[in-house]
Amino acid sequence: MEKYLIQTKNIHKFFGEVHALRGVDLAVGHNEVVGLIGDNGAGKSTFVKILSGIYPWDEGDIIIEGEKIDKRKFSVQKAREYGIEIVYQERALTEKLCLWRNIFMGRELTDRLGFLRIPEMKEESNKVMKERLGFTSSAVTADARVGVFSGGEKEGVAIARALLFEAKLIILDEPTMGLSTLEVEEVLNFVKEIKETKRSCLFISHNIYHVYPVADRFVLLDRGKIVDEFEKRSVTLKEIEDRMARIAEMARGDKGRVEG
Amino acid sequence: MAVTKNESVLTRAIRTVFAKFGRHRMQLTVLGTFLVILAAFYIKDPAAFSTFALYSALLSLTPIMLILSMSETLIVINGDFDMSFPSIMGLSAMIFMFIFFSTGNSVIALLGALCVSTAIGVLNGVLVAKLGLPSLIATIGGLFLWRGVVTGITQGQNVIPGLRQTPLYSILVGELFGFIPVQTFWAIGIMILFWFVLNRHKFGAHIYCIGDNRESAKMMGINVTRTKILIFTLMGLFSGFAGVMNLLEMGIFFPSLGQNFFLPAIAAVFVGGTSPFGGEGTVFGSFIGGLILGLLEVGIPGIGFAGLWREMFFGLILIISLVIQASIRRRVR
Repeated sequence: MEKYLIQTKNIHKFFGEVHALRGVDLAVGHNEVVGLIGDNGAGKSTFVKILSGIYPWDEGDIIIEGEKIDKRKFSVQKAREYGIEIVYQERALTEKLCLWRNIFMGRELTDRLGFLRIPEMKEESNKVMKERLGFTSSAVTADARVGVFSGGEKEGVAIARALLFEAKLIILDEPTMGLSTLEVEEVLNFVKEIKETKRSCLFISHNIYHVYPVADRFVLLDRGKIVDEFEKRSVTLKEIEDRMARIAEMARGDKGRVEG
Repeated sequence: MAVTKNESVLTRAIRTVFAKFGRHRMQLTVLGTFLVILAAFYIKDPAAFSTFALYSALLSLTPIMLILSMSETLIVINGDFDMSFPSIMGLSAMIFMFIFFSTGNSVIALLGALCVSTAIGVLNGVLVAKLGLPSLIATIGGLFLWRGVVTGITQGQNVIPGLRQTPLYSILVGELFGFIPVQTFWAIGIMILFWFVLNRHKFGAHIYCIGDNRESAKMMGINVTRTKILIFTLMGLFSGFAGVMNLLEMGIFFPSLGQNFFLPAIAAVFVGGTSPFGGEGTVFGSFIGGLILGLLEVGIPGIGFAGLWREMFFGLILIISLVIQASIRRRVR
């Protein structure tokens, strides 16, 4: 077996003049939870959208289970075929539409002619939300509009997709943003479940206190580059905090120089 | 104890009924509006509103508008607009006529006209989905462009092509049992087709997703470009179909053919409860919305207003519909 489930080598991404990613080297092993930590604007979301097949990357390689990915053929569909599921920060919901349509968006269950198997999708939606994710509220039904859900329930819908379609790697992009303490707890439990079910997770956040309890390894991203990496067993929370504070200090310094 | 149990069963029953109808409240409101207007007309003039002639008149041109409105509905649900359909109608009617004159075969003429109108639909789709042009403005460009082509080629002349004897005439716009215009059944058929596409097919599911949140749809792997091009293609196809139908029904070609459907067909979509912001809407609503406008058109002279007042009533009904819909949507949120 390959050492890593997924590995990126020297990934660069430009948006016109802006050099958003400056050579990102990151690897996620089998059954490993990696915390990718970085401030706003560090390039976290850009990196996620490259792994998910939405943005093409400009330079570098992505290797999934030892196979080098063809940049031109990589797409959202392809990423799914490799077993990568993404829970986006924006959650990628359609709020006027109902739960089952959201969960199965883009990969509806159909017959050979493309006609929807609606009862099946409703049943699966109910099952995953109620039984596997434990949303017991009577408001959470397959026919309910997602727009009326609470923040935690909306995050649940995004997570339900990753659960329903068997994934090897689940990428969580700022999954705890804007959630209550209790809801954050639920998300962290979900990450633990990923670990227990022998899958891998890339947990992306700007909040070290959310990532620290569940990740095996921490990677710090700053302005498009990986600046540090820690194994959980060889680092304390305090050390990561200090390192992050220094990065923030440096960023402020750079900014001052540019403006000055 | 027993009482509370009964109550809870009752409240649950009420809630289920409400939830069942609740999901269709917009369509039911539109249908209710139609019935209220019909009843009002009937009370004012029972004699005129009990004759077949009046309904025959209603179903002569209204079904053509319904076909246009329902096609436009797909586009609006998906979050775009198509303004070019009246000119596509004119162009396809002209092409139909030319092919008919040179071959004498109305079926070949129809196929030719539909090929051209479909191709224009593809072009609109590519401009909007691939090049990212704003659909409203790009298709207004098409509205001018194709109308100009038609008036230029025909030199602004009217032509009476003599199509009544062709087999296509009785298939598309003849009369069933001598008094029901056949185009009614075409409109109903197309409504059923679109209903299945929107509610039971993957394609329709994608249309709603794109209209609701295009970025989300893209992130979840829906091919937004392909879906949009396909919707505009359908619009082109059915605009061409409606154009030929209009030519056959009127029996005369005139360079502005189709233009009279422009704003009514678009208004019908919104009278029918489709959201101008995308992601919400039904073809049934547009069907009834179009019937409401058609009914006003034939009914207004019947209640003693001159036909000159037609537009005032159109405006009133559109604004009142939007007010009602806004209050329904507010309650949902």
